[in-house]
Amino acid sequence: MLRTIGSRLLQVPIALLGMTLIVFLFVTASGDPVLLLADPGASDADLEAMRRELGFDRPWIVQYLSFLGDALTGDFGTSFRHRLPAMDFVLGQLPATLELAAASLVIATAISIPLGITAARNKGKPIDLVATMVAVLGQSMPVFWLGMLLILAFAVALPIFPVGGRGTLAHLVLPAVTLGWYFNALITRMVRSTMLETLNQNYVRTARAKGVPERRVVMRHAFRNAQVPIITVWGLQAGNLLTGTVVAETVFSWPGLGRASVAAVLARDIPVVMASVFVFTVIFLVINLLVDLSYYLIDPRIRQ
Amino acid sequence: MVSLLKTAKGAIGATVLAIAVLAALFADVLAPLDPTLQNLLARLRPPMWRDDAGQLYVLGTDALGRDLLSRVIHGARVSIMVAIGAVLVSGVIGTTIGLFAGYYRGMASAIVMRFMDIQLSIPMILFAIAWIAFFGAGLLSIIIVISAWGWVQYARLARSIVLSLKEREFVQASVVLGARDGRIILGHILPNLISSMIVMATLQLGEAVLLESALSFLGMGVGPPTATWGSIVSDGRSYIDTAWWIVVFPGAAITLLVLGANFLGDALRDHLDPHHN
Repeated sequence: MLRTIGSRLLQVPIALLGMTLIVFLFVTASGDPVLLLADPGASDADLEAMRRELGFDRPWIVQYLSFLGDALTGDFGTSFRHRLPAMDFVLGQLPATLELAAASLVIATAISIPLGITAARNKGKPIDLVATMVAVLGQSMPVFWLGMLLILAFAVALPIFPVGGRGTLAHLVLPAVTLGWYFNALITRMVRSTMLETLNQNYVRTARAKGVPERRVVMRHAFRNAQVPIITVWGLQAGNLLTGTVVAETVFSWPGLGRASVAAVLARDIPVVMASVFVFTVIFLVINLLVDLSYYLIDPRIRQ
Repeated sequence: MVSLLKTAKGAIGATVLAIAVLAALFADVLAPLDPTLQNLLARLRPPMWRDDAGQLYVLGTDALGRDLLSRVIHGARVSIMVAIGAVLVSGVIGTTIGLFAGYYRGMASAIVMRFMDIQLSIPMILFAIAWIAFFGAGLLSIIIVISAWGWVQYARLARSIVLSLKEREFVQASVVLGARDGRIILGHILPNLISSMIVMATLQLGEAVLLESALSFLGMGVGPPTATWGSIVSDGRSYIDTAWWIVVFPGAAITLLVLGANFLGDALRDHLDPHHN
């Protein structure tokens, strides 16, 4: 177990180096940022001076190394568009994204675990059919379309919630449901199938035979063993969560990092792109590390 | 194959996929109108609207007066081409790499495994956005991005199957008989690998359709005037309070296609891989 965590930790710097290098190459090669930054009327000499001032006249490898050197001290440069330190800008956008992601995971977990358990205990009954439909539909609907349907239903036809933006709790509901729906589908499916498997195990039969109350059989004996695959899904979905955040933020004009990072790539705002790639990769790695650690907490067999 | 189509899931999935492929192939014949033909006098008309010349607009028109049904039919092209292209590219590359990484366990195999771990620890949406910002948003570019994201899944599955196949008696027997690696791989390993890879590919079709439509929706798909389902929904976003149909129909098309691919994938898995039950 310690070895797994050790090798995960070793992956952190490699993944950060790899990711920043790839994105840096793509973004620098994708066009001259100076052309986008300068006034339309700027002369060639002005452009050249600007390039020199921002360091774009150097070879890309020198630019990358100087980026790395500065990044190690926490300096990601100044955003071209927002005229603020890039990392400050990114960290300023982060709370909105974390709020949305956390709310959607809470919704997904609160629905999927009871639904999956009930479905598995009533296999073939109507509630099982409902759970299966939720799972199948949730995995087949594009996140942006679900978001728009919710806007149509609950912001246009029945104006209960705002169409977009961030502020009150009412603003959070539709985007969080949109993003949570997909994870709800995945976790429901996973809980149902692993519970079906564990409920048939000998130790569950033994527990029932010795008269353990059904509630305790389900929660302590069966569900505890179903947790490992569920957590694996969480870890594997960290990347999809990010994709979903970008889309959900766009649909609901949610002022978060997902939308800001797409805008930064399209505007070639290199410092903001690099800072957000860095932050996203770190979050992603932390989630995976937490997933590994929770295996350790849940499954005593892994501790040995 | 026949028994596959007898299951409800298999039959529904195969039918939906067949309809989408036919729509993509024969879009020019099936679409009632040119999908790029604008008519600014007939903007945002509701479904089943008929113009003075008697032309029926079954799904209504969009903000430029284009026929929505024709655009949705033509939109199947991009989705189908991207999905099939990406599944083929990532499936072939991933299966080959996974096969060799499982069969030859040495330095190269270890490096490939590390590389896959690292790739899985990179958020793909950022890679996709950066790639598209660099190479532009053509059909090929999107196929490459989705393949670069998808091949790891095939490689991991192929490798784990090859590792267990190598221990099986029929493989061991041909090693003892002195068969060369090429013969063992092509004659014994690959045939036993292929059905799992086909199941994986079918399930990945749906994921590829979803990813393509998300990129299109974000404005990073195949650009205008080509109709893609994601971009039609995105266009309809500004008119959501007056023209619901622009958003609803192309999204329903995406959902149906993905649902069909998932159904067929599930049915194939039950059919080809009895261990999975």
